[in-house]
Amino acid sequence: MSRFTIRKQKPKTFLLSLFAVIFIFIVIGFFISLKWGQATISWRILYEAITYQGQDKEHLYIQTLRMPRTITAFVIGVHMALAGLLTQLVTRNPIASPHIFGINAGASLSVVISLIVFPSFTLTASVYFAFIGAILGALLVFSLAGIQQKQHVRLALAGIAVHFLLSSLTEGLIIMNQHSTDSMMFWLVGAVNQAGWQEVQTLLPWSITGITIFLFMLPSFRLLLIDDDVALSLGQRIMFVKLIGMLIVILLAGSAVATCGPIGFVGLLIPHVARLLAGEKLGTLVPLTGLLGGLLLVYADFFSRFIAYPYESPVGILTAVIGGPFFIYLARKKGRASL
Amino acid sequence: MQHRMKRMFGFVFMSIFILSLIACGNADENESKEEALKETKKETIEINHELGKTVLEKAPEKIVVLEFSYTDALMTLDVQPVGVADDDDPKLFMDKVRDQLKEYTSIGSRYEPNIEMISSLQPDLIIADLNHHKDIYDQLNKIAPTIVLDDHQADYNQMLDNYLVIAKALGKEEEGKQRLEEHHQKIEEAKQKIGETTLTVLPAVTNPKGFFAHSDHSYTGSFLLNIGFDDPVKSEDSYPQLGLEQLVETNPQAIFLLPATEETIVDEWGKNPLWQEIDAVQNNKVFTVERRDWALSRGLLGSEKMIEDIVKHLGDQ
Repeated sequence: MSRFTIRKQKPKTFLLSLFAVIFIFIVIGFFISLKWGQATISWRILYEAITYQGQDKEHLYIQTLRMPRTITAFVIGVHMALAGLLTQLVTRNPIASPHIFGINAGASLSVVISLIVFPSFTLTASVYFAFIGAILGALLVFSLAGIQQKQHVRLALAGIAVHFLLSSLTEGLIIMNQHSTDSMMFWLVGAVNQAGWQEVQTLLPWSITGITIFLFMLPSFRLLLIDDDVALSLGQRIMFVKLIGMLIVILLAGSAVATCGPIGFVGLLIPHVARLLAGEKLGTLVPLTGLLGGLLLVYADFFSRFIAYPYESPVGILTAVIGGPFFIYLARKKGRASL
Repeated sequence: MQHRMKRMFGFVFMSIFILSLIACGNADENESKEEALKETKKETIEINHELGKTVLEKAPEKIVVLEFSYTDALMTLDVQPVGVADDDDPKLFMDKVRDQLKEYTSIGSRYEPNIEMISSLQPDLIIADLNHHKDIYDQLNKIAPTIVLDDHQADYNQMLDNYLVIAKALGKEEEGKQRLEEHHQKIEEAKQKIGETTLTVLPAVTNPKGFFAHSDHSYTGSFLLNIGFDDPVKSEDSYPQLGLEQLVETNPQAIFLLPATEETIVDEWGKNPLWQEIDAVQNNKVFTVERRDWALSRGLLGSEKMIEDIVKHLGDQ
């Protein structure tokens, strides 16, 4: 019983120090990402660069490449983690995430189509394409499984089926157009290494929109924690809330996929870690999930530079290495619990 | 008694006659066998390749090739392929090859050639690539004798070796050697025109999402080394992907861009002030050349066109 209450809500001091520690780690993550890369950069140059006191080659590496790249990694992490949390809330399914639910695969498919059919498409335009794909992917899953609660297995099966269907279509397109899509294989695992200020500019409006609606809807999302029947009897429009929830998922996940490709497992892993640390209360769970997601991706991006140094590896490889085993652990744990 | 003797005699006589007939017949057969052996020895072609040894009864006539470089080789030997894996896009042939190439059937992508289509062409030789077609080797071999060469990852010298293997397989070994001699001469002449080769030169394929350097182990990179230039990207990997930071750090003194699409990542990079930090950009030595000449037609014709481009851009003015 006592364990139950602790998991529900941790003491304030614990939460405060938790946020402080995470904040410090994020700052450290930013600094090491700016400091280490292919070129060697001294602390002095780093200081000059971030205070915009220099225009040399080394300063430019930081100002035009490493800074936007690190910010992109952070923002993408926030997007993916929040989208994951929201998918889990809406479907009430602990193994749900945009990746497993065909949303990432749908977005990828339509981005690849847009790159093949309109090679001159700008990044901003492919974001809209990603939204369409994400919506279609989600619709396909829900039309197969229905939107009722407690359909975990059905929903997961439908999601994985749609995920594989759409991914295989994407891969087919890439094979058929290999000469123009060589580097898309790199992108398909999810990579932030090419991100510049343009990517940041494209992403930020969607982050702000998505997160604002999220916070605004927070009181209503609390309903998603209780049974559909109970919520209905309280006179709440549960379907409407769920719809808005999925809309935010599509905004966050779609824009992330369009800029950096489908980075897997962040959306699955982070909400669980956050829940473990801070309990179920949405007021702390939501910001914590976002920050942890950003934190994970900043560090994953940093380490991905050194897997095949001096050449880059897609950051998605690292998140998959961490997330894959975790997914199996989660599936096994839940499987036992339901027995 | 006399009657009996007569029968005996007749029997012996007959036996001798039959035996001698059989003997004669045997002798005849032996002779024709030897002749046949001589003939096949003259005609069969034995080719050692990446996945074993292939024996051809006679010079093949209907040939299917699964890489652009093989088409290049066939053209120099005046042999027309019946089927080519051309990625369904004849524009990917270099001009010189396309001009000489007559009717052929496209068998689709180089990565996933259409096996049924190959089979329907009833070829008597298939030339495949180790990297792309290792997995379908058995299938191809059932259709026709297949030789597998390491082409995709090959450097320039390996390509020249492969060329001789192809010439031999086509029963044109002598012509191949002659053409190769001619090729070396052409390259030597062009080298004279280039003069100084002190620059570091980086060839790279570009598309909207990436910049793929051709390292010193790639075909283009090793060709540049061969004529005296230096490829600044040293890697076992033939085509590593570079970021802008890495490109600026590599700092090549000349760049040959081989765009795969109209818009490429370089359009984006050009706007970054870092682009101006590259020596090649400062020296005005960033050139755009045809990817089909440099990176796809990895053969004698391709490399001759390549050095032509190099003479044009980097030769003594």
